[in-house]
Amino acid sequence: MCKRLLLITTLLLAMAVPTYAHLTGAFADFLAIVYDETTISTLHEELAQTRADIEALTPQVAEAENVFRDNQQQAIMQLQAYAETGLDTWLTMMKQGNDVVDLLGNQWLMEQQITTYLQQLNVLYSEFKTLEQAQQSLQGHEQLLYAIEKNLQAREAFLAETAGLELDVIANYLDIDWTAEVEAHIIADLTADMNVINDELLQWVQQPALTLPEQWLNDKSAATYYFRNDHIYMEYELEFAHVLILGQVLQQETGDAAQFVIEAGFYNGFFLPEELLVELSGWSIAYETLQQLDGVDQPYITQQNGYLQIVSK
Amino acid sequence: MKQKIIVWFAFFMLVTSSASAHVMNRDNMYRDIAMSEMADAIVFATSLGIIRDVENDQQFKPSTTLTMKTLAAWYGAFQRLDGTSEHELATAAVAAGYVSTIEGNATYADVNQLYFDGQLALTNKQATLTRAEFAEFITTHAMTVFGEETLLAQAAFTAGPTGVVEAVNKVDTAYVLTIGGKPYTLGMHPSIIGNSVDPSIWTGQYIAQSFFAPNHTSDMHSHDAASQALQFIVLGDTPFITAISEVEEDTTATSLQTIEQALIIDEEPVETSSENNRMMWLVMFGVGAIVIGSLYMYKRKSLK
Repeated sequence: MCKRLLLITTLLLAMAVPTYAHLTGAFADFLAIVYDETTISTLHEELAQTRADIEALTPQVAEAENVFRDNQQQAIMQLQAYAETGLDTWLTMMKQGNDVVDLLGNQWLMEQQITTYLQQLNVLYSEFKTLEQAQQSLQGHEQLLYAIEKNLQAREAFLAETAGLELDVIANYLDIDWTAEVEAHIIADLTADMNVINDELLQWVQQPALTLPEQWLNDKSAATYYFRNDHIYMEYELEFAHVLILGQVLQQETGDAAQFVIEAGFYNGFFLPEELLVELSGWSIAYETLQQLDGVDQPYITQQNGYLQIVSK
Repeated sequence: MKQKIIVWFAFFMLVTSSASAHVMNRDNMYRDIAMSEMADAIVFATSLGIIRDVENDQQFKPSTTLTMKTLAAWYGAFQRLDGTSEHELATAAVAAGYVSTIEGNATYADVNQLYFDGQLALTNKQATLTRAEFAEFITTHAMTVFGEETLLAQAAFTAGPTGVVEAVNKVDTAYVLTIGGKPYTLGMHPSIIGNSVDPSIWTGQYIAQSFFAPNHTSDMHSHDAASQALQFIVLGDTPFITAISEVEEDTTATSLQTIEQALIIDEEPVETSSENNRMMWLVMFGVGAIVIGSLYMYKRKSLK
C-alpha cells in the first residue's frame, strides 16, 4: 500500500513539475498555490466579529470614560480646595501654636493622601485608555479588512474573467497587466509621496506630540496608508487594479533617515514576487530635517496606530 | 493583526523572503496592553510561551479576571498539547490531568500548582487574579528554582549577552547584534522591553538582560533563521526580572506623570494642575518657613 502511494505521489510530482516549469511570467509560481474558495466568506466572518467586538467595547469605553471624568472633576475640585485653603490652614495651625514638626507632619500626610488619590485616579485613566486603545485598534483592523476584501474581490473578478484559460496564459496576463498598467503608476505615485514628504516634512509634524499622522499623508497621496504598530499598509487603486503593500518604517543603514521598507505586496489578490517588489521604493524621513524641531535630538521613528511617532534617543 | 493577514493570504508566509525580523514590544504585541502597568510582564510571559493568544484576536484583556479555562489553555499550549483554540487546549489540559475543571476563576494556588508544582509559599492562595496579575506573578517567579529547575529553563531560555550594542547588521533577513566584540543572531520574532522595535536603532544602547531560545518552528522556513537566537532583550540599565520592585517604583512615577498629563493636556480645559499644586505647596512651604523664621527671631528679640 505504502509503495503504491509513493508511486502515485511520484507520478503526480512528475506531472506537476513540468507544468510549473512551463509557466511564464512573474506570477506563475503564485497562481499555482491553491486558492481557498472560502476565503471571502471567512473574511466576512472576521469583519462581522470585528464589528461585534467594536460594538461590545463602545459602552465599556463610554462607562470607563464617564467614571474617569467624574473622578477627574472631583480631583480638580479637591486639588483646588487644597491649593486655596493650604495657606489658611498653615496660618491657623501656627496661630494655634503647633510646632514645626507637627506642621511638616501634617503637610506630609496631606501630600501622601493627594498622591494616593492621584494614583487611584490614574488606574481609572489607564483602564479607560486601555479600552479606548483596543477599540481604536479594532476600528483600524476593520478598515484594513475592507482593503483586503477589495483585494480578494479583485482576485475573484480576475479569475472569473480568465476562467477556462490555461494557467500559463493567466500568469502572462497578470504579468502584462502589472507591467503595462500598474507598475509605472505606482512607482510614480510612490515617488510623489517621497517628494511631498521631503518638501513638507516639517508641516507633517504635529506639535507638541511630535507625531506624523497617516491622515496628512493620505490627503496628499494617491494611495491610502494605514499606519499600524505592527506594519505600515498601503492600499493603491486604479480602475482595474487593487494593490496592497506591506512594510515597516525602519532606519536606513546609513543611519540618517527612516524609510518605509516594502516587504510584501499583493496585486489583485496575487502575491507580488520579489523581482517586481524591488522596483518599488518606499518614502523616507530625513533625520536632519527633524532635528530642526525643538526638543528633537538624535531622532528615530516608531510605528503607532494611525501615526508615526518621532522619538529622541 | 499580522496573523489575520496571513490567514487571508496563506501563501504569504511561504514566500515572504524579503520580510525583516519582526520585533515585538508593549506597543505591538497586543492591541490593549500599552497602557497597562504590567505591559512589560505581559510581553515577557508571552515571550516565554506561558501566555498565548489562544483566541487569536491580539487582545490580552489585562483587567479581566483569569478563568480556569484560559489558564488551562495557556498551560496546555505551554506543554505543547494538541489544539489551537482556547477550548481545544483547555479540554486537552483536562484530559492530560493537568487540571480537574475549567469552570470558574483561577486562583494563585492554581497557578502555583500548575507552573511551580505548588512549591511557592503564598499568603494569598485563594485570591483570584487578573490576567495582567498572572503575567506579573510569572515574571516575578521566572527565576525561582523549584524541583531543580526554573520556568526559564522549562521555556528553554538561557542567559544571553549583556553590554553595549556595538553594531547592528542585517544579514539577509536576520539581524546580527555585535556585543562585546561577538556577533549574536536576533530571533525572527523576538520580544523586547524597550521603545523601538527597529534593531538598527539599538546601536549604542545598553542591553541589561537577554535570553537565547530556539526560533519558533514557523520561522524555520527562512534560511536565515538560526535555531538558537536572541529571543528576549531588555534595553536599558536594569535587568527586568530581578527589578520588579524597582519597576513598580518607576511605575508610580510614571503614574503621576500620566495623570498630570491627563489633568493638563486632556481634551477638556482644566483650570488647575498637579504641577501648579506642587508649586503652590512649595510657595506655601517657603512662606511658612519665612513666617516661622520671623516669629522665631521676633521671640528671641522679645526675650532679650
